Amino acid sequence: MADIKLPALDRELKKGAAELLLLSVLEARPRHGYELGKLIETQSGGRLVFHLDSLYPLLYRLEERGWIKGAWVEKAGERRRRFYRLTPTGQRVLLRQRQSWDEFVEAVRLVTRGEHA
Amino acid sequence: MPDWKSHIRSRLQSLRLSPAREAEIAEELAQHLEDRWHELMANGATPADAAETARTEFDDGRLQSLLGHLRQAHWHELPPPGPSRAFSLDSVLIDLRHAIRALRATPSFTIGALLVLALGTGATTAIFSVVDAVALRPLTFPDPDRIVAVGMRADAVSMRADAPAAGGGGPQRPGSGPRPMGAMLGAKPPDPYALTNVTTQDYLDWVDRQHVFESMAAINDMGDAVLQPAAGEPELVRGQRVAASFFDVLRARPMLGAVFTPQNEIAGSGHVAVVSHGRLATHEAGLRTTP
Repeated sequence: MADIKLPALDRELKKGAAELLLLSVLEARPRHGYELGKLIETQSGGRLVFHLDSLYPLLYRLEERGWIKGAWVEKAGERRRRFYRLTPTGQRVLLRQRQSWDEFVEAVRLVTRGEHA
Repeated sequence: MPDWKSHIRSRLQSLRLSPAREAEIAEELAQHLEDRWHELMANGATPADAAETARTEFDDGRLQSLLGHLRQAHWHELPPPGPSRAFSLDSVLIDLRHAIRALRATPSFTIGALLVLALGTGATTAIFSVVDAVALRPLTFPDPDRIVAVGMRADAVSMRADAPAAGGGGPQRPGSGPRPMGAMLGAKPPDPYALTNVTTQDYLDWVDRQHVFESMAAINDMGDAVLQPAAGEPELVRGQRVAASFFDVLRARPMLGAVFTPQNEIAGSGHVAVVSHGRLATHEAGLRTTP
């Protein structure tokens, strides 16, 4: 079996978590990019911060996969903004990723706290 | 307010985005920086400090690197329409590869298309074979385009109240009388332009008076007959009764033996037959040939 390199594992974990975070905050309603970043930062108590250089490339990648769909929305007296919403495919992916993530977290918790149980 | 859009566009220029998409991304990212700038100022920063902070909070290189992995960052402008390019083997190979990939990507469509092509080709081949045999391929006789079939039209025959007989392309069988035409109730009326059999007298008159053909011969289906070889079992065969001049019309001669003579047409002179090569080969031992 090939060895799992820790930096690669860390990168994949962060990447998977970032996708899950964005899909989760889009589940309730469509949001624009800045709102998405602030919402994640607020709900995580400031622990998770998305900067522009990682937030938008990830949004565009999810859009290319068909998981989310962006559209410009114009409101009276406001500048137009690009709002993103979850597609049916994205909703299925979110359910799957959420379940996988829960199982992963539970497995890690069992290992890391096993000695104290 | 800082010109965020120009700042972002300068960072996007190295990416191969379409002009429209580049403008959209620049607008969206500039809005994000503007929101952040307002937020920093709301928290007490001066406009200059807020602009500097917003600008330094993201890594230009990282943004370009991550955007560069997207499909939309590999945009190719279509060449302007112009004169067609010269033929090249490379373009043919590219088209071929593209076609194969497209066919492999849609196997159900590919199978359906192949089935339609196979059935269409098979049906076309079968139809052509029939047409070729019936209409296109010439007869295997000298000057086949000069051989014609002559008969009487059905409407002409029906108008001849004094016609003694209406069946038989050659000499009539003894005892055969006029054939009633369209007498059956509900039967389909005959095609008035179709050729029908002629009487023996008509045929003999045509032979005496015509100056158009080199020779004429009558032919009539004799139906099934029993062939009794000198040795072996009798066999049911199908043949044609023909006038003596039949082989003169076709300009054909048998491989073995002789053709009919006018003497053979006289009643009571005995039956003479010309058999095909295949039947002769089957009954070679039993059939007697005339020298």
